[in-house]
Formats: sequence, structure tokens, C-alpha cells
Amino acid sequence: MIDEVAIIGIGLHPFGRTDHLSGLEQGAHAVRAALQDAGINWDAVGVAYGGSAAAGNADALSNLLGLTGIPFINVANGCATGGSALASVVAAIRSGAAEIGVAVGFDKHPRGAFNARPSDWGLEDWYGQTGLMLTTQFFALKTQRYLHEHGLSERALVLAAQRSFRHGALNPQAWRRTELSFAEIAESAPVNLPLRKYMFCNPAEGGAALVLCRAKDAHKYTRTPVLVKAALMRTRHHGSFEVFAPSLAAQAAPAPTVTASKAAFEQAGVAPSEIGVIQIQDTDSGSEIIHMAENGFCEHGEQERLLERGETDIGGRLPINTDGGCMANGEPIGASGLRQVIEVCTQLRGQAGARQVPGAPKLGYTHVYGAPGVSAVTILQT
Amino acid sequence: MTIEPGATPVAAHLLNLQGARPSLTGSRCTSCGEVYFPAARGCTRCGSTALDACDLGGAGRLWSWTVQGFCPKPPYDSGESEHDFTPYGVGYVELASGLKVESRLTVADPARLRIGMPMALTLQAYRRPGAGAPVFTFAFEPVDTAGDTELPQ
Repeated sequence: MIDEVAIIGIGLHPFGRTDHLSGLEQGAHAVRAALQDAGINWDAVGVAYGGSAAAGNADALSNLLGLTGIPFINVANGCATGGSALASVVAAIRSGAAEIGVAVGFDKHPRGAFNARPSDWGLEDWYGQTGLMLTTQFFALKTQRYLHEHGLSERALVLAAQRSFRHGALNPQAWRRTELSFAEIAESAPVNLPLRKYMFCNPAEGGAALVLCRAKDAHKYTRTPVLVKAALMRTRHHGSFEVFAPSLAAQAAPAPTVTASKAAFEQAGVAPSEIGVIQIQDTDSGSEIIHMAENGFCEHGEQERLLERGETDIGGRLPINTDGGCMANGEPIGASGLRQVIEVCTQLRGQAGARQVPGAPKLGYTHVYGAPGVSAVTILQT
Repeated sequence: MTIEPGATPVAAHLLNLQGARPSLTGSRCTSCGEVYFPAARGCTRCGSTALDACDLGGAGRLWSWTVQGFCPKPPYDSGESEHDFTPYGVGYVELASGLKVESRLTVADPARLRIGMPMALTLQAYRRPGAGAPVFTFAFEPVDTAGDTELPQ
């Protein structure tokens, strides 16, 4: 039997805009908060993995936290950075390389849509020069096709966004804490149709960190350990429809979300129907709708009905993005995946206050997706 | 669309301009037959590195679409700013081979775009006049409005 690994400390630097702190400083804030939550000091940590997309190397956090000589490995997996860091810490603890490990993600992005450099992604310059290399375009193109194939209307996009802001309004740490009406979302400026302004998250800043150890030692540090039943990432297959794709193969393949999700459920030995609280990547409300089905929580085409009935609300059967998700918290790429894990831990510990999912959920799920076709999933249990 | 004399393609290897109408140039894997645009050096389906150039044609059907509603940051080099930006259509067009190619569209009016409509390849001068050397790229236009394409000399 493989040793189980538990989360014993969680720490967040709230997402949004913090002009006076660098991304790295927000990462250090998150690590300190997670260490305090676990009741330990930085010198007790034996291994660390972390990263940011645009705010520097995670191992530079040692300059802020303490130069203890530990292996601190930089992770650069885009949106899957946090998930990859977490999976790596779990593997390191299981292997016996360290007793206590830290996973950390942080970021600080300028305002406005991301502008990627084609050569960083193995693409030719013309793809960026002619205005085709935008993440927002991909989300719109995949959403447009998805609505068409599965008989969904743009109403579903509005309902998902409205629900995210409704949840964000209940979260004192969220960046956007104002509910929006159906009309405010439906009539907001077109960004990339069918997606409009209030259907997109914004690039932002923030930090998120976890402290982990072997599950059998966890009660030394906390009364509320959260077991990592699965933490893994997957990359795309030939034929899947991904960000930054100048063309798509004739024969379609499942998205990396689908393969990551299936592998995680198999590893954890549980079914989607057993999950009590769900965080899925919502860079935009179209992606959230697609990810509901790609992660196995509903059938393709069922989403609009579930949203209409409030099934994805905190009191519903599938409570999704209970902290407001990327829509209400913004997107610091390196930190978002671990924010999701922190929200699930908070829910499983019963510490989520006004946004607490009723019925004391025992199992939670997190999912991220990003360029150039990567996905990371965790399944957590209390 | 008329392309002004002296204009150059943003990337010459993408296009075949020898025929009456432009067509796209890609590559085909000699082992498994998979086609690529732009031309690839390795086949991500079977792992072969033996690929030949191939003409992908210029006719297809609109597979998905959006309208780019804000001015992209660099490396977009149309010379526009957020103050004088004109939204443009973007879509995937499914070619005869089944390959779907991402492309600018000549139409940015949502009322004139629908999935499944026939599309034809044309050329588009996407850089604002006066913003540097005139450059054109490929674009797809709805077939019902498609006119003759005048190739640059």
C-alpha cells in the first residue's frame, strides 16, 4: 500500500491587485500563512516545488523565507503549475525524499488579455503577427462549436457567470464581490463572441501555498488533515482541440481534461457522483460549461438545465466554484490551481462560513486547464 | 480583394499563389497520411519525420467562429491601437481533408456567419495603411460574397 499524503497547512494571499507587493512577496505571504496553519516553521520543510508564469522563479522565495539549503524546484506548467507542484510534492514525500513538503504558486500579470510569444510555444511568428494567438479566441471558438454541437444557448453562458459572481459575493477574500444581473452580463461588451466582458475572468495577482506530510503523521500538526487521493496532470493527445492551434486534425481526440479526470477518479477509487464540492477551471463561462461535462459531472448538453435549476449553486447537487472561481478571484496563472485546492480544504474542514456547502462534504475535486493543452486534477478527502 | 502592388505575404511558405485562386500549403506524413498546417517537421500522430509538402486547397466550410472584439497586444502588428481598431472575424474552416485551419475571416458581422457555411480562401491586407510595409495574409470569405482575388504582381 502506497503511503497516503495529507495537506496539513493552507495559505493564501488574496487574489486581485496588490500594487505594493511583488508576485514573489505574495507567494512568500502564502507560504508563511500555510506554515502557520500547520504550526511549523520554514526550517522544518524538506522539499518545495512551485512556480509562476510571469512573476519569477519560485526558488527565489528562499531569499524571503530563509536559506535552509533544501531542494526547491521551479515548475513552469502554465495553468497546471500549481497542480504539477502538488503532484511533485506528493511523489517526493511518498518516495521518502522528505517528510514535509511545500507546494506554492504565485503570479502578477499586467492588465488586459495575455500576449504570448509564438516562439515560446513552438509556433511561427505569423500566427501572432496576424492576430490569431489569443487565449480568448480559443475559448470563444471552442464554446461556439460546443454550443452548436450540444444544443445549448448563450443563456447558459450568462447563468454560469451569474452563479460565479453570486458565489464570489459570499467570499470575503474574493476580488469581485458584487453580484451581477442576468442583463448586465448578457448585454456586456462583446470580447470574443459568444463570450462577453462579464463572462471572462481577468488576469490578476495572488499567491497560494500548501504544506504536506505523510498522512500517518498528519495529526501531529492538525486536527483536520485533508488526504490527497489523487493529484496528477496530463498533456494533450493528437487531435484534441487546444489553445494556440493553427489547425485541428481531422479526427478528434478527447481533451487532456478528460484523460486527467478519468485517471484521477481511477486512482482515487471514487465516482464523480460521490464528489461533494467541485472547483473547475472557469477562465470564461463557456469553458466552465465544457469542463462540467469533460470532468464527468454531467452529460454534454445537460449544463443549461442544471444551471437553470441552481444545481451548481452552493446548496445544489453539484456545488461548483464555491469561492467564485477565476471569474470572481481573477487569474494569477501560477496560483489558481492551488487556490482551488485551498477552497476545497476549507470546505472539507467546514470553515467556509457563508459559502459553506451544507451536509459536511467528504470529497472534493479541483481541475485546471491551460495552454498549450494541459490539465491538472486533484481529488481530496477528509 | 485587391492587394496593393509591392505587398508581401506575412509568411510566403503558407500560400500557393500560382493558380487562379490562392491555396494553402501544408505537409503530409508519408507514413500515416496525416496532413498539417502549417507544414510540420514531425508527425504528432505517428512520430514519423518524413513529411512532404502538400497543397491543402482553399475551399471548406466554417467549423466555428468568433469576432475579435479588442485590439490584440504585440506581437499583433496591424499597426492599429485600441482607438482605431476594427474588429475582425476568426474561425476554423474545415477543408476537404477534414483538417480545420484557423484563419482570419473577411466578415466580422455575426449575422453573416454560421457554422457549416461554405468558405473560400482569399488574401487580406491586414496591416493599416501607413503602418509599415504593406503585408497580406490568408483569410476565408463566405462563398456567396466571394469575388475574384487579384494576386499581387
